[in-house]
Amino acid sequence: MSDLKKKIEDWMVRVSFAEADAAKEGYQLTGVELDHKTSLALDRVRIVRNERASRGTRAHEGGTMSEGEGSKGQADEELSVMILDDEPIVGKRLKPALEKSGFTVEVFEDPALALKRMAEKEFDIVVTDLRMEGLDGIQILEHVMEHCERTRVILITGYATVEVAREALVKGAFDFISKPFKPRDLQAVVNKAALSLGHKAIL
Amino acid sequence: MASVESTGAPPNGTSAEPRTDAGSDAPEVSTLDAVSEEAQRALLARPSLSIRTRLGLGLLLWLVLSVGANVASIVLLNGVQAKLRIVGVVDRYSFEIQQARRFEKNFFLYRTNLEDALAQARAAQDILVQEDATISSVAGPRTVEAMRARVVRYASLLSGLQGSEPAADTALLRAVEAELRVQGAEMVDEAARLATQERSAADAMLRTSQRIAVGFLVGLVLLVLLLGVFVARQILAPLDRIMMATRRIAGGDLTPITPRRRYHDEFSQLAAGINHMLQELVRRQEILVQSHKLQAIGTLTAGVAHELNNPINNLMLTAAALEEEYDELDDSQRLEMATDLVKESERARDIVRNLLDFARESEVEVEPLDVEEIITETLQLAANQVKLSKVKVKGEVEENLPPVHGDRHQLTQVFLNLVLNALDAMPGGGALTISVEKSADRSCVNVRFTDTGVGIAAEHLKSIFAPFFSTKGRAKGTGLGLSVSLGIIKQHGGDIRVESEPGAGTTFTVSLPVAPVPAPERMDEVVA
Repeated sequence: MSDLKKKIEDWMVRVSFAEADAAKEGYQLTGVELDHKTSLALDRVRIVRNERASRGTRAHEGGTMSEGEGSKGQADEELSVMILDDEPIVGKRLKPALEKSGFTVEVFEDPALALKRMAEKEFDIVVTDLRMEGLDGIQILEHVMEHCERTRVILITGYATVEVAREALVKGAFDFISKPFKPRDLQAVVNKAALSLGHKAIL
Repeated sequence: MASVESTGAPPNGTSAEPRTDAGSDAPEVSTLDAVSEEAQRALLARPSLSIRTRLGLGLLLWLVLSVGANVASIVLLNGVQAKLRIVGVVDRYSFEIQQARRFEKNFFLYRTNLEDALAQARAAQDILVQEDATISSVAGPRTVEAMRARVVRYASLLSGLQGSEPAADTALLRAVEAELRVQGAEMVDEAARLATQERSAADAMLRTSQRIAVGFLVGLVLLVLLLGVFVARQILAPLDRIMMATRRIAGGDLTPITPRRRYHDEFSQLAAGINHMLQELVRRQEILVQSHKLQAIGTLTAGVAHELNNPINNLMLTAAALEEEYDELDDSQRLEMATDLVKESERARDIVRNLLDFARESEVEVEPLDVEEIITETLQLAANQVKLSKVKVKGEVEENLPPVHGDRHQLTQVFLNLVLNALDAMPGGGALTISVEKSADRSCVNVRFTDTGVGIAAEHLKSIFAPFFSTKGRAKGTGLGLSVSLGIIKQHGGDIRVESEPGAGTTFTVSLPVAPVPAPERMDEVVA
């Protein structure tokens, strides 16, 4: 993990350098530029993490199955997704969309209730809003990473700043999705997470 | 010392006249500009009587008085001199006559000295001729004529005695002697009378001259006293008034100086100048208020952008779902989505509307306001900042609060500034307690903002209301907030106080004067 952490730090530092350079020359990076640089860094993180994840899966499976067989085997049992957002409409719209893709979905609006549920059940993918009253997304992320490193955490943010992105990535977030997004956008990210868990993408 | 009237000050100026509309119609607009124009007009509309004129008049009076006294003295002294001269002449004349009479007596006793008597009589006659003008100017030409006639007659009588035998004609001699005696006595009496008269006239003149000197002295003392009073009343008193006014202005009360006397002078010009300066200050203050407001809007905008993301996200999710799955949805689901769309649009509208309402440039409108309502509005505006900061906001509002007198937008701006400051003071979260209560004497409503933040160092406490003073660093604060807030509250006739304990928290207390209660009969009219 420390090796990965260092790499992530390194990439994010590059992003912030780019930002600082831009500021020095008297202009600010636009959201798009920043998103681009952040997503470049994210992609690299994801590659490393996927490698690690697949190694982990193999280890988990006891190395008896091939990669293809592994994902096929897991595709039969549905992946469980938790959606945590204090906006009820988010869950209301995302639940059917993800269920259509073949995920088991549970929706929570209260972070405290979500944590309680997490203690009972291990979710494969957690989609959480970053900004909530009570506990925020980063705290949820920390909690999940503490208890179940395998779980993929996807953060919903108003807009990603370098600082938040770095913190989230260092702490092990799988990906970000920026508001506003369409159900299909989230489906894509969740599918990516499913893929990284060794499942086939369901589109 | 009389203080400067400040009619037109929002808190008490408007209370004088009963409100005809009882707040139901357009609220009365009391712009400071109008008040200033009115004051300027009133200051300069009075008849002009400048200090220069008044001082000039005083000095002229002095000059007239001194010249008058001096001229009178000179005239009197000249008179005295003339009288004394006459007295001298008369003395000389009377001396000659007396000599003549002594020689005349000798002649009749011893038949000697007749020549001498005649010479003395001639000399007396010469004196009369020489000093004819002098004596006649005082005693009149007829007296002089009479005197001369006597002397001439006396001399001719004496010369008639010349050459006559001493023994002969004793009867005739006796007659001549009798007439000579009569004439001589007359002449001596006349001269004595004239001398006495002139001497007493000279005495009278000297006394008058003395009186004039004393009178002049008294006049001088009176004039000096008068001038002293004038300087005190006409110069020092207005100076004092203007000093008081500047102190009041420094305290933040920007109402113009109004006239208190019936005429205008240089001090009126000075007051007009100060009023002009006040207008400029008010304008500056407005610009400062505006720029601080823009800054606050900037701060709020970040939060609003965040907050806006939620309804927009909901809209996008719902609309996209509706679009993609239209055929798979039944009618009730479609209706629910449509309802969600409307609701979320309304939510987005409300978020923006609050900010737009605050950002709108508006005329200052003074009206009775419910403090609780303004605090609610303020907290709505700052809702996102509050949410982001993890600060718990508590409100403690006393029952039956009287309304305060003020401008809704400006008070919102002040409260918002205090709330945002409190949030800045609690970077790790905390509690902000907003309590509203009446002051002990019920003349004010006190709004207390108590945070559990980092506090303000004692050495900073006295400068936090100074413009451009900031402890937040260049990037975060311009140092306008508290200075502008204090300016606004002072204009409302209120005050802001601060107590702070570094490390424990800070309390800002905003005192606002209670709005005057509308007359009950007016209310009845409105109800009826």
